[in-house]
Amino acid sequence: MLFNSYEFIFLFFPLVLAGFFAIGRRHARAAAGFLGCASLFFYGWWSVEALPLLIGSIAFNYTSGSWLLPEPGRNERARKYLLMVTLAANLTLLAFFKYADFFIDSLNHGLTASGITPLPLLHVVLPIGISFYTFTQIAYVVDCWAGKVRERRFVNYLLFVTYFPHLIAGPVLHHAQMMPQFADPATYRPQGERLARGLAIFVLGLAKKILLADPLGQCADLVFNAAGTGTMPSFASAWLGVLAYTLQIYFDFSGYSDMAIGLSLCLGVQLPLNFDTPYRSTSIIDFWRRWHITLSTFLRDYLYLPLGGNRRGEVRRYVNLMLTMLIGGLWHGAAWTFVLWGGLHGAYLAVNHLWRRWAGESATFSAWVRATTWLITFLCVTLAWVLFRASSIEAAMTLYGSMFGAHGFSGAPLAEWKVPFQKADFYKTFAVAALLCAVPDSVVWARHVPGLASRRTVTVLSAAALLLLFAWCVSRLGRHSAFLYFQF
Amino acid sequence: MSPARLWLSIFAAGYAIVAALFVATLLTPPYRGDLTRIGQLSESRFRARNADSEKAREPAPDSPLAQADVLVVGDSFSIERRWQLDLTLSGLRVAFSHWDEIGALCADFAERLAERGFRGRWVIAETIERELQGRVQDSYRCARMPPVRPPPHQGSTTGFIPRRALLWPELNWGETLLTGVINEWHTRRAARADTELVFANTRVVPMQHGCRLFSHAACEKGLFYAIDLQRSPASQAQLEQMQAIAARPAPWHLVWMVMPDKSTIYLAPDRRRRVSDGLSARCLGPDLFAPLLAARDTMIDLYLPNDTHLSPRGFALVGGVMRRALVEPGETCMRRP
Repeated sequence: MLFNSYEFIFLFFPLVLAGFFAIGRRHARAAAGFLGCASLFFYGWWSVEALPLLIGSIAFNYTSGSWLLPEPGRNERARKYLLMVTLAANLTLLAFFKYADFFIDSLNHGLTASGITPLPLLHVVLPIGISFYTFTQIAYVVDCWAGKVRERRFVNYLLFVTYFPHLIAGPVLHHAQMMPQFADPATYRPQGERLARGLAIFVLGLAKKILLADPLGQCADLVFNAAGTGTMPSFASAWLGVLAYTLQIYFDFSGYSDMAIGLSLCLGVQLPLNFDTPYRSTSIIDFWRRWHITLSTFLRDYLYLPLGGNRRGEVRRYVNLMLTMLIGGLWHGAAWTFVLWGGLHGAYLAVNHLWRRWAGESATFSAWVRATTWLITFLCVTLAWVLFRASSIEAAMTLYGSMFGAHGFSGAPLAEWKVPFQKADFYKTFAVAALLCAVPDSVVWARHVPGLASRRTVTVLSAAALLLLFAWCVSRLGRHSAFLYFQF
Repeated sequence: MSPARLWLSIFAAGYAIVAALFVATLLTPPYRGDLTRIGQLSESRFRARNADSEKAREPAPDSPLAQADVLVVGDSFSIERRWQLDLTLSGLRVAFSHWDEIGALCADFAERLAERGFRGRWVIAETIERELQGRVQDSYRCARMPPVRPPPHQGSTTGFIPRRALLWPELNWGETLLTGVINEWHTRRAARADTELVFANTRVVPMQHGCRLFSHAACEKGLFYAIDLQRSPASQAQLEQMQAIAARPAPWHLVWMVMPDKSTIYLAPDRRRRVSDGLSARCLGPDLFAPLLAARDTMIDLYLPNDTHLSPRGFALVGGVMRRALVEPGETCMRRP
């Protein structure tokens, strides 16, 4: 069930919202259970077949977490072994479902080259959301072992993992942010202000997805699909397609995150910010503080810092950075294009850190230099998206070739295809999207929704404007339009 | 009233209206015909009531290109392989390729086809009448075949059947919010009108003897595609181009198959004359206009009332004509390989 679907907007969410607060008024724990069951139903709607795996993973990690707690009389070495076994089990599960065919396929290249019969692929179906729920639970068991977990009632844990606003495509939640909120009785009482703000954020996210990301995606699909089939787009088409994808992925994923944050706020639970105008970044370090913030934070806390971070000298720092970004890339998908994308960002970060070291951490720059650094950052990020979106390394190289003029510089954009959309409409959407990259994210805007209420006229206007936006978005539903991040 | 409450009241009132529009759409019968879909007209008023008219015809088995006797390059009239059944029942193996995949029959078409392993005896270039001009011109002018494009109807959503559609198939989940209201409005206007109306590209034409031709509930009104009669009829020059394309050296024989527009058969039969006569006189392919025109008044729902395409019975008739053209010696003047 997509957030941008009729059944979610008109059936599932209204029923869950009403049921949650109706039960929560009498019994908070029962409301948490209801929300957990509703979340399992939401997941089951996607894939009933994958539901046992999710439930098994929750049961296993919760039980392991209980045994990992540093309680008196527990053997430290045994706890450490158990932690390793738990982590290995989680990673094996993820590796099997997500990466098995990737490893076999990569191995087969070597075997074929050596004249050995290649191994058969397993064709395992990827359970939706497995990367997200595995990562959140790894953080939980590690923190259980480290003695950092305070709230650990099962119903709250179940809800933390399955909570439907984030279950399928994030944000990547941390138990310390979520479980105390589920334990707070105030969460289960409806509050008008939270509801209004949550609905406003949801509508803004829906608009990002439907009015911006989807139309931009049509152009991006055209160019990347052409490159995937070996057709070389013209210089202008290649740049337009890649820029369209750069905007699409931002509005698609940040739109999804806004919807998740808004829905959760309606239910009284605050989710962390996931995007903070990333395309305004003036460095790659800055970009990763603004893009998919919850994943960056997770990778920093549970990978980069445990590897030693920057505490073991400069060389180790860069090795750790590169490793973190490579694994971050692989987390996004089982393909070498994702690994290369991660590696490219690792290299960008290393260069950025070297530059900072050379220029000084607190150096101040003129407006011209800042504009230049913004442009360089944006171009670097855009070029890296080619690897992220391309169906293969060959397709990415075809596009890079076109972008750098290997096939000439002539030709109007998209002139080589009969495009399935109105070009004028596309350019308008493109311009609006480019402008909106510069303004604060929806969550920041929506902070003012209840605040505007100090003036009645403004309250009425803001409600009417968001209502119209909602109606506009809903009028565009009726066709399949999945979120890009669902595949990760 | 607190500000948040005021905000929520306004939003809830609007949400209720949007939800009501959604329910109206949900309860509107899903479109089955392309003309009802384009014009957003009631399916229950314009769908064939004659049970035989919609009885699905078994699709012909698809043959791999390398093993096929016949390759059909065609459009939506051929994609479901309905008329081809008559060829396969005669023992021919038939492969299919959509115009959208191959683009045009360029000068090197025979060469490219040989590279792809085709060793058959016939290539049938099937095209709807309204697209004839464009396809012939493209094929006549181009020297080299463009790269093969992915076949139509195979986007990223192929195979995705939303669970809602499985659980409640009778409800209309696949349309936009205003469909229900617009559908009702268009249908009422169409019912009241004494003159022709156009909704998007669907023409609603009052027909004096409509109920003898079609079986739908509102049979005094016929649905037609507005673009049909906007294109000029086939010219002499086009026929010459078709002949030139057919005369290109190839180890197989090219047969042109022009599917008459629904508007030509029911509203403007005189438009057919040049192409109909030209196909026969120049031995380009069988004339489908004459048999379809002859069957129009005797076969109810020759074309589906809500659609631009033939009914299964219409496809059977066309299939018979094509079978005779290919396998019955002496039936037409076409060269046999």
